[in-house]
Amino acid sequence: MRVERELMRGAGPVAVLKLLENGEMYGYELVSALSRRSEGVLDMGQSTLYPMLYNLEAKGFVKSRWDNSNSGRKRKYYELTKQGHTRLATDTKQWAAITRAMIALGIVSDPKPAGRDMISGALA
Amino acid sequence: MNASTSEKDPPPSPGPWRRILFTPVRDLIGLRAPNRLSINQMLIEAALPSALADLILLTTKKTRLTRAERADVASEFISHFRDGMESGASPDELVESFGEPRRVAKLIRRAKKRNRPMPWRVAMKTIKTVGLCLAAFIVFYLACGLYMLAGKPNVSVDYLAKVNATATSVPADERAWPHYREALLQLEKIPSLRTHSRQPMPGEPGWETFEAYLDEQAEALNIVRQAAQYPTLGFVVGWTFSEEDLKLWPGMDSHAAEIESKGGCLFNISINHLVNLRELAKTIALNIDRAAAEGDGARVVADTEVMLTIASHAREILFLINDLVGWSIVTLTVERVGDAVAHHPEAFSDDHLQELAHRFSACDELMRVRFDGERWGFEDLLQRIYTDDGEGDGRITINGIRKLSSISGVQTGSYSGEYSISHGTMDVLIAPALNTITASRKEMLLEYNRLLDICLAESKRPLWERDYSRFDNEITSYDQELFYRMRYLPVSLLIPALEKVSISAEHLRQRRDALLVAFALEMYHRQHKAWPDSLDDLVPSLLPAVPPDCFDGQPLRYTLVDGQPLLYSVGNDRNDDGGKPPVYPNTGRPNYLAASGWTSAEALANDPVRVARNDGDWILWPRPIEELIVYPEDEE
Repeated sequence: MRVERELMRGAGPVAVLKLLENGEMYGYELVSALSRRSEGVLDMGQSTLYPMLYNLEAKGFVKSRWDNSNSGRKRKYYELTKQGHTRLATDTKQWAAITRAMIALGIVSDPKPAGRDMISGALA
Repeated sequence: MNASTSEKDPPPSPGPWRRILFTPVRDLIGLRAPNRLSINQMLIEAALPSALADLILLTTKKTRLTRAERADVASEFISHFRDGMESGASPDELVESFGEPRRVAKLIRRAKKRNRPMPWRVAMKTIKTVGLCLAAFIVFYLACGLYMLAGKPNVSVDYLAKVNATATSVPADERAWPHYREALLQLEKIPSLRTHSRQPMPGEPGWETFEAYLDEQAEALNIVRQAAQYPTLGFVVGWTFSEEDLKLWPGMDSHAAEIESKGGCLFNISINHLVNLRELAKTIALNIDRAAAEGDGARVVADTEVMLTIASHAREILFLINDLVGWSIVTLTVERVGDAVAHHPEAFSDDHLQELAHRFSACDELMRVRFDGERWGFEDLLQRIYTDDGEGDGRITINGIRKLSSISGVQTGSYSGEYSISHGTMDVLIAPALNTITASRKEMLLEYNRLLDICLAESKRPLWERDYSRFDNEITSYDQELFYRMRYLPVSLLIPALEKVSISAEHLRQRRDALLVAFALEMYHRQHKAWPDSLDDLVPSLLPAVPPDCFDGQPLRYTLVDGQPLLYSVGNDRNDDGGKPPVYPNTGRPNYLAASGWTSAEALANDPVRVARNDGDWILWPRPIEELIVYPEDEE
């Protein structure tokens, strides 16, 4: 299932921030991880990812650098900034609240694992 | 991986020639950004399948970002696709997952622009705002240019008729000019002796040439004398010439017609007759020399009257140039009569001297400074270069700008009389700027009249009390301040050297005054068989009052040198040197003219060089005459 663009606009950035929480990643790695770990729900192509990354960079939540990979090719790596960490924490709380509200409304009926918000759970 | 795509699109291999083309040297020669920013080169080096390379190329191009930003995005996409291919995705799958290039480009552009540094964004915004303002200004400016193109001058006042009012007020048969013209057509040119350092006086070697000339010209001179009986010259200036006048000045009609066709104004009017009148006066002056030497005082008196009338005729038109020519004729008369009284006093009876004294006393009007013609000339110019709002104001026109260009010699285009698109375009471009800078018609006239009035007011004061510093400062500001000069260009171009004109009149007056004293001295000498001790002895029986020295306001200086009287002014250095003229520093020979030039006391105090050069007196009567040197004839 693919998420509507409007929903993706809200979920995408926090998903990317979450992925970068544990260390720097490059573009294709992010696309693959998002697709794999969200089981295709947050699947996004370059058309969404890269503009999103540039926006996050413009807002100061991530920073990028070019570096050589193990294969010797140059790649652009993204990592969270301090500001990005703060933003991620805030967004996580908000998403948890939304998830609880969704459960209360019966929109999300069987949260798994219990007690964790949907995004965190999906990306854990 | 889609095998068919990879086989169909083998990665292009950059050959040696292409590698050379993409060296930094090429960028340097082409003044381009460094090769590292070349997306083409990056794609070649990445060896991506053409479908992916084209996608990157198209997307980055559509972003319309800066070259460096596009290169950065392209690098990231290349890296992305290669990662994708390494992980097993086919180019087609990668193309499909990429999204619509235009939309991607739009999103990337938006995000990258947000990513730009604040100073850069501010600078871009500023440039955009300035650009918009500039564009608005250019539109407004060109509209002003078109508005100016629509403006036309309105020549509503016939200033030429005003100038000719005196001449045309008398019937043709009561005008002096036809008689002068008749004489001029007969008169030969005055001989010029190449071998003589100056014109010889009666009794000196070479005088016989002039005597013979006067004999030959006797009939023409009589016609001149008849002409001088008429109070009005009656020469009508304009763009056309009578057949008789054209005999004097062949070809003048076509020349004048050409000037008129180009919109000639009063300042362009031909005043050839002034040269001719001066020639006539010179010939009569020769006759005064001769009559005095022959002891014929009556003829001197009669020809003096003729010369002064010619001077008056020259001043019939109110231009300054007419005044200057008139004054030069009066000066010539004063000099020659002064010479006659000094060297041939026996030629004159008491009545002759008295008659001459009365005649020269009545010359004040001839020496009056007038600016009427200049004002008319300027007003005529303004009505030809400005529009007319009916209340004396208006804006400068395209034709006016061209006219000013031709006056000033400043070429604002290659205008040659015919209007073409290129000239029109040029006019539209320059006209609004000039119109903004140039004063309005009313302002221009006020400025011109203001300067004339300053000088005219000053000319009414005695020379020794005059202060032209205010006028000088105004003129200096025209020379030194470009904006002021441009704003009042017609004024700065056409304002005459009013100060010099007024001083010329004072110099003439001083010479005339000295001549009146000379008459009185001669009368005194006759009555007392001796020269007076002081000029006060002449007052009041022979002279109403001793005239002032124009340089310091004190009575004119008088002394006896070798028993002979000498009248002089202290001259420009304001020091009485006992009647000794300045000398040339290198030869020690007298420099008679050096002391007569007038400089304000303040300016003189700051100019020791001038003081040294002017150290001496201005000899007025008898007129100092340089030694006559006769050079041998050339062999050839």
